[in-house]
Amino acid sequence: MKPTPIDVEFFGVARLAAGLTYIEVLIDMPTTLGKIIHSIDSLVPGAAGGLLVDEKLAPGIIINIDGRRFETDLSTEINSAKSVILMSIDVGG
Amino acid sequence: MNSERALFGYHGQYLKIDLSKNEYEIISLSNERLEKFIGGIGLATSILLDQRDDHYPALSPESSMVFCFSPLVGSPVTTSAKFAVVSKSPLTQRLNDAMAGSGFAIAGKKTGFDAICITGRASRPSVVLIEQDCINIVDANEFWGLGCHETQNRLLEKFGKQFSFATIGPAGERQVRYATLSHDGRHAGRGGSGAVLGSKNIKAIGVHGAIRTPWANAEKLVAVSKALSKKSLGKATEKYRELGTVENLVTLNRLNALPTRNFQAGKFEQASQFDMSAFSKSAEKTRSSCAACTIGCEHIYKIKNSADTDHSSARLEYENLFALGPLCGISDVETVIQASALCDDYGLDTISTGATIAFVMECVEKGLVDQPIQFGNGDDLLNAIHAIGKRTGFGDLMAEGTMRLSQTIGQGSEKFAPHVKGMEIPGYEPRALKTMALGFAVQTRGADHNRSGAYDADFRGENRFHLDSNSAAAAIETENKAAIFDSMILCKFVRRVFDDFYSEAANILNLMTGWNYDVETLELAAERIIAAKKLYNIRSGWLPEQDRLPDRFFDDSTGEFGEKIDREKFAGAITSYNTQRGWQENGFLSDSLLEQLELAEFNI
Ligand code: SF4
Repeated sequence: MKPTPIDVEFFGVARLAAGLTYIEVLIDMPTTLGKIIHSIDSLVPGAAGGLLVDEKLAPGIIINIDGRRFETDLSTEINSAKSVILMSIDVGG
Repeated sequence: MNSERALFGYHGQYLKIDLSKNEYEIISLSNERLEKFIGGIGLATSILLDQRDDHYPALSPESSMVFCFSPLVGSPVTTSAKFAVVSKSPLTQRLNDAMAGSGFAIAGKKTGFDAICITGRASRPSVVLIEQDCINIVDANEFWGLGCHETQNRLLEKFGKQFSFATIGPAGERQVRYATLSHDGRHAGRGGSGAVLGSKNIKAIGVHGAIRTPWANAEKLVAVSKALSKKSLGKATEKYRELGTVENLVTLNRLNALPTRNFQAGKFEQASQFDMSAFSKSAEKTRSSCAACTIGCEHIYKIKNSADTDHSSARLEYENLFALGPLCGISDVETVIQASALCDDYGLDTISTGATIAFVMECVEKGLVDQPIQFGNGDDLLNAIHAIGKRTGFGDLMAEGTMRLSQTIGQGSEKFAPHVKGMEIPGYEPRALKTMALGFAVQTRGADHNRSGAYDADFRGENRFHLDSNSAAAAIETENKAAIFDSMILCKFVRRVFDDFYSEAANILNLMTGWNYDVETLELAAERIIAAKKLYNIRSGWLPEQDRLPDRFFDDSTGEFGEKIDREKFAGAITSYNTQRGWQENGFLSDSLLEQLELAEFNI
């Protein structure tokens, strides 16, 4: 099977932490959110560090998959996804 | 309850000033009352209910307004220097509870009162000066007509820096229905408190005093406050400190949840112009905070080389950015800064101002109105703000807000006038955030994102696309929490700093008051405060059909993630909300529930 391209987008504090606004990763499906985040590091070393605390998603960050569901658990299985959005958990104001 | 116990954190009394009679009286507040309603919005609502003037229109002299502090004002608990102002709203003719953080809260509480209730109308433009129990009502002619900023400066010059002032701008004087109250450059923004004060012929209220309230357990309170402050400097509030709420705009745009061109779309093609981190590189930006806040979420932007030096800088937050930007089809950030600065100076709520102008822009686009106010035109936006603030020309009609304006324009415009109960909808697209849609409809003060944080539920799991009994439960949970935050009063931006909000909040209140709050009594207090607000609305003539959204949200889709709302499911979610609250299916409150919540004394 060919690896699947996923658009990873960064907003808010996730953008601050990673220093990125967008990156495309290629990944074998099925995968997990944790693997997607670690794959960012292989392209931009160090970028994933600020997104994680003790191998968990840093507080203040949440992940959206394909504009639909929100997750914070990095072990969440992903069978198919076109985009993964890392954003601030607070979108209120 | 606690009738014989000593009082900590409170004065146990409020001041009532009748401007028509030029009289004042000091009214006791029992320990039971204080414990049941805490302070802020809760206590103010109970005092407003006591006045029994809810049958009068908001702008009539008989209608009262209550400024209310809290047991935590003056304490080291971070973000606690806030006050509530509660009255009938001229937009909705229902309860309006606005809040703001500033030195006015600290100085106001030191006058020796837990609240100040103002009723009647002064015979001429006046300033009310309250120094402990010395109350003076003095002529305000020299300040009438001045913008908020200059008013504040001139008042301090004339009466001395020992005073803190809450003032209105020209919009409040002219009773623009969404005029604000301003203090230290911040605003109690929504619902038209400024118009209510203006209708009483009052330009400003000045407070000064030196009366402190004791704290039940000062040592532990200081220790808990220090720990909270330390936590508030961590990751949970990083967004507010580093970026401010302006960063919401591009995120919401990505999720098709950014109200655009009067809610015709959920995405703005030029949203990238509002990447404020990028914009900061070419603008001057400073940070500031409310009094006694360790977070400091205020980001003040200054346009370089502006021709209009009086209106070249403004506090930008998500709400003014969206309302004066994408909602009006405006993509130029500098125009939005100027528009925000103008609103601040006239004393206009930026959400209602932007939404009213955007509504007119759509009416113009559809050929229903012939006015030079077009989507995307910055000059039209700025001219419209001047016209509203001065009530000149078409601005006089716009000053009435979208509900009344749509009733005047007619021709089906009511279907897309963006309001609930008369209050304009803030920056959360209801079709993309369906729990928030429910929260907007059921809120006592109309479409509101501060008393209902239902969007929080939309940003979990897949909630944002569904409407069912879970949505109702989620909306209730966020409203209840907000009722406690707004009564303690704490800023909601610290909400993620708490690990277990109700028990930590109970602990803080106990250390201040010496009482015995626990999770259960605080949850009950939240239910009581929300029911009290509803009761005020019922007494004011509320009807179930007012818990609704404009037709647009049920009839038109905004594309992917913005499917129109299903009318039946929405009605079902409202019924579920009412029944889960223990209210009648149609939203009225039974006598037995009022007994249970200890609200029977207000049931007239
Ligand atoms: S976080 Fe912002 S709004 Fe809240 S108290 Fe601090 S400065 Fe004021």
